[in-house]
Amino acid sequence: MTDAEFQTAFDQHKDAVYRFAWRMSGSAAAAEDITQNVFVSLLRYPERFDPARGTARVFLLGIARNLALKHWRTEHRFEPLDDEAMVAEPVDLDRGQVGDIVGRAVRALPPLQCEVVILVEYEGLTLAEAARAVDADVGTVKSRLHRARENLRRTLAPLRSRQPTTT
Amino acid sequence: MDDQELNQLLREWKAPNAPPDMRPRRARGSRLRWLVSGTLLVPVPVALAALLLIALWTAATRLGPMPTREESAPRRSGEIARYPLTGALAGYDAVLVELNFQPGVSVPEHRHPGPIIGYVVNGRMRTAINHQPDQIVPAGGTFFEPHGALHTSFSSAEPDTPVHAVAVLVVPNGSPLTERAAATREPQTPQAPPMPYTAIHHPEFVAASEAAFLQDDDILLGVTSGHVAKAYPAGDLSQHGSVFDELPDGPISVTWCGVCNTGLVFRAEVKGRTLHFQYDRMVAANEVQKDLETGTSWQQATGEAIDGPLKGTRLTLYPAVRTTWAEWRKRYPHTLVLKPMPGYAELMPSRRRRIKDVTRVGPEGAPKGALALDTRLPARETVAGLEVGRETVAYPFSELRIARVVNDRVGGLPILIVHQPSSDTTTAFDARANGKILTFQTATDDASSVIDLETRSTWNAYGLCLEGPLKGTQLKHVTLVPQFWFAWSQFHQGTRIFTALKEKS
Repeated sequence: MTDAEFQTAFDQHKDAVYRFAWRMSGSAAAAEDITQNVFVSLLRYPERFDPARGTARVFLLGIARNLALKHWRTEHRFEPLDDEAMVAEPVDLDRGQVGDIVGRAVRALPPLQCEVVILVEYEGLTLAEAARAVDADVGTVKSRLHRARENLRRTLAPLRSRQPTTT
Repeated sequence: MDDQELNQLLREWKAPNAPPDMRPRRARGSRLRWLVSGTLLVPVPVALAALLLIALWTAATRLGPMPTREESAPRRSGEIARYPLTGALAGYDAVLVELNFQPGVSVPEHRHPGPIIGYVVNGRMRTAINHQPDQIVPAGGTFFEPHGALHTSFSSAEPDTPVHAVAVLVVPNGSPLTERAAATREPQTPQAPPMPYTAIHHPEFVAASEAAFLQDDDILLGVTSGHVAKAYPAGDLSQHGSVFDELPDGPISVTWCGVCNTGLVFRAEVKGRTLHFQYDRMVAANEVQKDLETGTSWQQATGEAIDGPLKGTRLTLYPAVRTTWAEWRKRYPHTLVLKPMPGYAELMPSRRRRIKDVTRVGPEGAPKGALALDTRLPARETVAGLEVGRETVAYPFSELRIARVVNDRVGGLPILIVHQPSSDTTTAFDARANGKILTFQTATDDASSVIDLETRSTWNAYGLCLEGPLKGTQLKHVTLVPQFWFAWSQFHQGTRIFTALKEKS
């Protein structure tokens, strides 16, 4: 990969990678670290990107996803990383604007549900692309997304009745 | 909420783009690469000087004092040696392992693929198999686990001292030493979708014989009134937050907050007005429920009205016991059991797993939203809280499992606490009978009965005198609040913490 190609990839995808990392980690510092490490990884191992298997964005988001989960593990060392523990806890509806509350609810999801919500709902990936990024099959991603949306429907239900007063 | 409404809400959460001044870390990447594939050209005298310096430094380090065990980082647990066995035990390895646990760290439930015999070198080890009561093994003591036993508790028994032990296992050739219990538990079933988190205002009940959805060690809240005994499984309660019910002596609200693991029963009436509660929001990592009649918001962990027309009033606690299904059913064979509503029973297995896991001492921190944390205990250590007058005391389950019977004085009142470790059932009473203050001690190892030293009468763990001069006397119940430490300590700042050590001295 030439310097020019690398710079183009950085310019084109850094925002998507950063947004994803920011949403997953809830921290600007962690998001910046993750983004930098994603591109360091691209620089070191450019041969790992195979255009036949998907776009560069999906590839980079896949790396970002692995780094974000690593970050999550360091912060939740004793919680299992599975999508089975899937009943998200209610969120505090008293703090912040609607956007903050929605953000807390998404981040309160089990991480494997959280990442598909961010990839599909916020970064606009198709189910097939999200499946490639998280290294799962499409059916799994579809069901995680479904469960995530059910969880969000439940946790955000009280917000619905409050929305007029909080916006 | 339909898809469109949910999408609209989701769109409210905006994320920033990368900072405009962000530049890729090319330099760091290429420097690291240089370590693998770069070349170095230096004048010979400089290289010789560098090598000499390195040699001197290495020699100085070797000659210096070696760090002692105490100075080095805590030793990790792991395999020290493994030898294949022969003869009748061909096909197996004997494995020597070292075990080091820092205080406050416990090992998740697991099994070993062979028997294990261990020796505690330093500290005191807490260990239990198959959910039996914890055993404390002091330094110099040994422990044994038969093949296939479920190791349910394994940690240092001291709050501030690590434990160091060695153990020998016999396992199939090349086998790993542990299997996570989850892999050997009940088969995993596909997860059912979550159900709406709404209170139950018209509960239905089934007889104990029909409660096939319950397992023996499921945790529940039990209440009695007259001849009625009712059980409300925590795995079901935690999907609703609140269950309204009518008992012969009035309406109650049976509540459970899954975040702080607080299960409490309140009288569902204030100033003669019956109230029905519904989940409203989270405050300080604890549920706040709103009553439908006045719109007042009530903090579940304290029963206090925090805003609305009844602000400042407090709900009255209704006596309830947090226990296991096996223990409750043994005591009340004719109990009624809250029947899960359609769709909720399917979620009970995953809920029950969470509830059981967290009723053991866990090292995790407090959840988001919790107020300033009192670090005297781990945030999610389960304690039985007691408030009498102006005094509050937290009785950690880990201490109660050791003490089993506590004679205390809280807010001027003599208090008896009985803890049955097999089910973590904790009961508390006013320790006075016939105008006398009584002092108790365990009569049986499992604390299912206790004896008072003044009259030598025998009592059961529920405050009823079974034998002796006071036979037939029932001690007055005092209601405990079992919940995670972070929840108790944030609402009862400066609370006293009971320790079993003090009780013994």
